[in-house]
Order: sequence, then C-alpha cells, then structure tokens
Amino acid sequence: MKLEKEQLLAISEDIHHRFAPKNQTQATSLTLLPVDPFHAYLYCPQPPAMKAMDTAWRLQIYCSPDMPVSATGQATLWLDSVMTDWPEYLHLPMPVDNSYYHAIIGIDDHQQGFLPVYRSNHIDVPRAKPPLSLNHVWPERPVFYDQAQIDTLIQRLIESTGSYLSQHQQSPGIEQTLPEMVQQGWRYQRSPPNVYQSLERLSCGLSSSQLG
Amino acid sequence: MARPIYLNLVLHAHLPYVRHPEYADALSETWLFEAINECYLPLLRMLDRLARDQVDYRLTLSLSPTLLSQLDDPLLKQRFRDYNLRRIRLAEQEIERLRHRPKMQRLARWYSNLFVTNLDDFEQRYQTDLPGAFAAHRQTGRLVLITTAATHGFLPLLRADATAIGSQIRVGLDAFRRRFGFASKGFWLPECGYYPGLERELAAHGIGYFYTENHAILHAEPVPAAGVYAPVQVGGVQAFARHPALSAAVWCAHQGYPGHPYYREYHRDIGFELSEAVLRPCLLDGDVRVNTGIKYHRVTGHEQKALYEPERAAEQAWRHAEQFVMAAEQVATSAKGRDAVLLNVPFDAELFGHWWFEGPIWLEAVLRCCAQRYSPLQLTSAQHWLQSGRDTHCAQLAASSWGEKGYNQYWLNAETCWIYPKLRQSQQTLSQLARQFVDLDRQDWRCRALNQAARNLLLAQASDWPFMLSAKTLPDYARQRVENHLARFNYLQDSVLRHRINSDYLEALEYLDNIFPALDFRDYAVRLG
Repeated sequence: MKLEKEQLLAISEDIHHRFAPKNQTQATSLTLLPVDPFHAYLYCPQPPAMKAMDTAWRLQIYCSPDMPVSATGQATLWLDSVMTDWPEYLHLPMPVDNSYYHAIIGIDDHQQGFLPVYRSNHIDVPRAKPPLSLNHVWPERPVFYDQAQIDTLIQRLIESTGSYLSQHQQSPGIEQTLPEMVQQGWRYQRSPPNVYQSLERLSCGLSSSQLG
Repeated sequence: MARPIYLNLVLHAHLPYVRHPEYADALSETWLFEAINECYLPLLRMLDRLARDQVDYRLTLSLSPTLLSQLDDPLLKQRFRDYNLRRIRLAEQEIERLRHRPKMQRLARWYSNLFVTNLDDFEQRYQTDLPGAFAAHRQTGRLVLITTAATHGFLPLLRADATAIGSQIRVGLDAFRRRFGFASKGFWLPECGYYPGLERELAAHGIGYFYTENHAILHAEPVPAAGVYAPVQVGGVQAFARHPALSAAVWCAHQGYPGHPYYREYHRDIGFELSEAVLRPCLLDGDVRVNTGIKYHRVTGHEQKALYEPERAAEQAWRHAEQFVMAAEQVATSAKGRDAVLLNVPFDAELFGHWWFEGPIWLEAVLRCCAQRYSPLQLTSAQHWLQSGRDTHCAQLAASSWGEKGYNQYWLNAETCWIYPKLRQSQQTLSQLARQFVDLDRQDWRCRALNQAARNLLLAQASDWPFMLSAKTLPDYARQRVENHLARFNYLQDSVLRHRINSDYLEALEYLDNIFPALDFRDYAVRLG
C-alpha cells in the first residue's frame, strides 16, 4: 500500500464529509418493518413536492390472517387516520399477532373516494404465544421474555442439580481429569506435565516453578 | 433401557470488521486481540489436548466471514504481535512493581507467562494461521466448522429487499468455501434471527441445517411433538432450536455459572485502575486507557474483591461442568415420549475465555465428561445427528431471535431505526447499477469501484452496529461505522455514474475495507435479472 496512514485517514474523512447520508430517516418507498408480535416501524417516503400537506392525506393499515393475494383483498382495515403531518417514520402498535400487515398512504378525493398513492411491502408479525399447551414438551415455561423469569428458572435448575451433585458420588475419572485440565489447560503450558496429580496437591496453591 | 440423550454444543465465533489501517492504534482492534488471547487460542489448545488424548468429542464451531478475514489479515497479525509484546512488557513491570506484595506478584508472573505463551503459540505453534489450526481439527471428524452471513447482517430486518438476504448468505458461504476449500453445510443465523421464508433462501444456497431460538419451534405451526428436543424440517432445511435453560445457565450474567465468586472478575482490569505512568506500554495513542488483560481479582461478591486464585477457579469450572452435565440429564428426563432426546446448546464463542475467563476449562470438562463411556450424555453435532437418518417433523417455524424479548427489538428501536431505510436505498441503488453495468470489463476501474461499493454495503449491514447502539457500547463508533460505509458506498456509486474517480481514493478504499476479495457486483444483477 503506497498510501500512509495519514493519507488514508484524510481520504476517509473527506469522503465522510462529502458523502455521508443525511441525518433524516426518510425512506425511498413506504416500508414496514416488524419489531415483535405487536409493533412495527412504518417508514414514509418523501411526499410529493407540491404543497404536500395541503392535500388530505390518509394513512391506512390493513391486517389479515393470511398473506393477501391482492392489495387489500381479505384484509381488515384497522387503522384509517388523517395525516396531520408527514412523519419520516412511525412506531406503530399492531393489534393482532400472527398476522400480515400492509400500509397505504393515499388521498381523500371527494368524487372518487380514497386514492392510494403509496403502498408498503407486506409483513408478517409472529405469534406472541404458543398455539397449544406445551406441558408435554416443556414442563417449565415454553418461552422466556424477561430476565426475572430466566433467573428464576436457572436458579431452580442450578439448585436442583447442586443438591443432586452433593447426593451422588463424583463420576469415575473426574478426579483424574481435573488435575490434568488445571495443569495443562489452565497454565497454558505446551509440554505435557505430570498428568495425574491429586486434587490435594493442587489445592496447596501455586509454587514458583508452576508459575514459570 | 434409558433413552439416549444427545448434547449438541455449538460455538459461534464472530467479531465485526474492526480493522483500521488509517490509525496507528484503534480501540476496536483490541477487541480482536483480546478475543485471540482469551478465547481462540485457549480453544485451540483445548482441541489440541482433546486430540492428543483421543477424546471422542463432538463440537460445532461457527466462524464468521468477518472474523476469518481479520484472522488472516497480515496487518492485524503484525499488530497482534505488537499488542502482546506491550502486554508482556507491562506484566514484567508489574512483577517489579509488586515485589513487596507476593500474592499479587505471583499473579503478575502468571500473566507474564500467559502472554508469552500466547505469542509463542500464535507465531510458532499455529504459525499465525488460526483458521488453519481450527480446520486441522476438522480432519478428525469431531469438530464441525460452519459459517454465517457475510457481515452478520440481521436478516429479519434486511428482508424488505430479497437481494440483501441473498447477498449476505451467498457472500458468506463463498468466503468460507474459498478459505477452507469445503462448503459449510450448516448456517448460523446472525443473532438466531429467523423469519418464515428464510429457509427458502438457505435451501437455495445448499444449506442443510441452521440454528434457531427455542420459540421458533415452540410457536411453530403445527407445534412439533418433540418441541426443542429434536430438529424440525422447514422447507427442506433442518432447524435446531436452542434449549433455553441449559444455555442460560452458562451465559446468564445474573444467575449463570460465570457469576460464581471464584471466577475472575472481568471488570477489574488494571488498565482502568493504575496510573497512566504505570500503564504507558498499553495506552492507546499514549493516553487512552484500555483493557490490558491483567485482572487480579475474582468476582467474590458484594464485599471487597478478593484476589483471584486460578487453581480454585479451575476446580470450580470443573464442578460447574459436572453440574451442567447432570442438569442436562435432568432436563432430558423431563422431555417425555421420545426415543432420543437432543439438547442443542449454542453460545457465542467469545463467552468462553473472554467474558468468562474459565469458560474454556468448563467446556473442556463438559466434553471430557460426556465423551467417557459411562456418560449418560452422548455428544453429537447437527451434522452427525442428520447423518443418523432419524425422522424429523415438518412445521412452519415462527419468527424469532435470541435478542432481548425474542424478536427484532434490539436491532430496531428508537436508537437504530434510522439505519434501515438507508440500507435499503443503497441496496436498491446497487442492484440498479449492477444491471446497468453487468457487461463491464473486469479490468475497468468501474468494476473495482462497484465491487468496493458492494463490500461497503455489506459492512454497513452488520448487526453489530445497531446492537452497539442499543447496548450503548461505543454508540458513536457504531454510528460512524454505518455512516462511513454508506458514505464510501455513495462516493463509489457517484464516481461510477460520473465516469470519473480519484485512483488514490479507490486504492485507499480497497485497502481500508479489504474484505471479500472475490466479491463480484454482477451477482446483484443476476438476482433480479
């Protein structure tokens, strides 16, 4: 590479200065992105330049249980709202999980009714809950959504196996492989040391020779 | 006769592309060096020991294309050497500084020995070729190597443009195949992010199986009778779901094993505790504090931190390994009505050694325990499981991820929502340009510029940037990375359209982002053509 670090940095900064995308979150087309079963982001494209907000724009969101075969076929209109401003994006609540959604922005025409101008992609939001009882599969809880639930289950698991451990003898061979693990793995020595040391010796602490 | 219980351990090794040749010292590059020292080298030494002792283990390792590219990079290899030399010097200073505190001095010696060994192993034992060292273990048939999306793009949020999904998968698989000479049969979905229909893209690229979060299967339609205890076939591809509690017992910061009082305290690095005069060898740009890798304390508890005791910690890691094996056995017992029970337990590889310093010991202990003849658990991998020819259920999986709350929220929220329309716009622009310039001669500079534009788009799509923004981990850096890659993309496409470019700029950009040398922008035209 013939360029020095300073030159690379200068080129990088120059390109960033001149070509970094603008701060706005404007999309090129009406786009839905799903967040979770009950939320999505809707990105709006730049409105038509001419007095965009003089026009009576409406936002419609459609919901359907299956992928609609046509733009609005079999879909339920669940949101139909006058747009008082033109946002770059909206964080939308979605009423029904496990459903398909799409959005339309259009104009209210006194004679022709609602005229679609922008149509979004279709998205599907997932289920929020299992469709059936899963007790036969997973007796605790099927899915975790918050840390407290996870903590509780792990604590229970660890406590139960801890008591199990104390009631049972160690598996044969463990007392042999542990010293080896410590000796070879822990101190990162490349030449194999004495493999079968006892646990007692290890618990005596470090010696200067062990520390290299 | 007891049902067989199979344990499928999977490590996913990934770091974002953090190479910065434009700086003498880059904080982000130290993430790679820390991971090499604390995770990848210990894992390789573990595999060496297992091979030497002929332990019949099974382990799957996913290596991301961005990580592979950086492990192979000559500049980063040189910088890793410098990084370790500085730490060796610091550890030697520490031995002297602590001459009147023998317990701490012993630990300083221990770190000195560790850093010397790391550098020695990197250069001599593995000849600076860590991917090659992992690949050597694959020859035994015990280690399975797979890969993931090109730059770890979070696929559920890139799906608005099918070209983005196809390029993330195709370029990732191609980089892996070129590096190792064989194809990845499995695929790690970045952040376990799945959406219905993704399987078609995976199948189209020859993928046989992937890993997913548990509720992809538990919310599937129909719900498979075996739940997460067997893979599920979807669109001809097999999905292996993570077992929630067994996985969380290891990674969970609140209740998991790594929080045990005997283990090394990650957050007490001397790089943030000692004076700048002492730390001089390891300061970035002469004054920026970073992790040094020297940590004298153990987790302890809420009281004052006690000194770290490596042997005690190692013993505890073994106890936790035994505990884990027994927990797995108990969990499997509760899975009713199955001929065989499969427990899939995937982790981020960097948890082992980096975040949880004793993690590699724990992992080796689990593998050794399970590989013993009397063990109730048998080790397997998705690849080995599928070769056994067991029947699998078919279902349509549910959208899911392993992120907080289980879906897309961690990558799409108020902090990150600005990214996606920009990515989509660039993706559409690139597809247009690819169709327009599909017949360009390979020697034409515009061909180089469009290839470089495609690299920058892929780098901007990495899931790491929105993750860092959400986690508030160096958010300014994450934002700048997205902006920089999109700015470079914009410059390159603008130059192509104007038929004019500064050749120094093109050369600089090719060097700054030197990933995926075989990438061909024409593939973006084929997709839509």
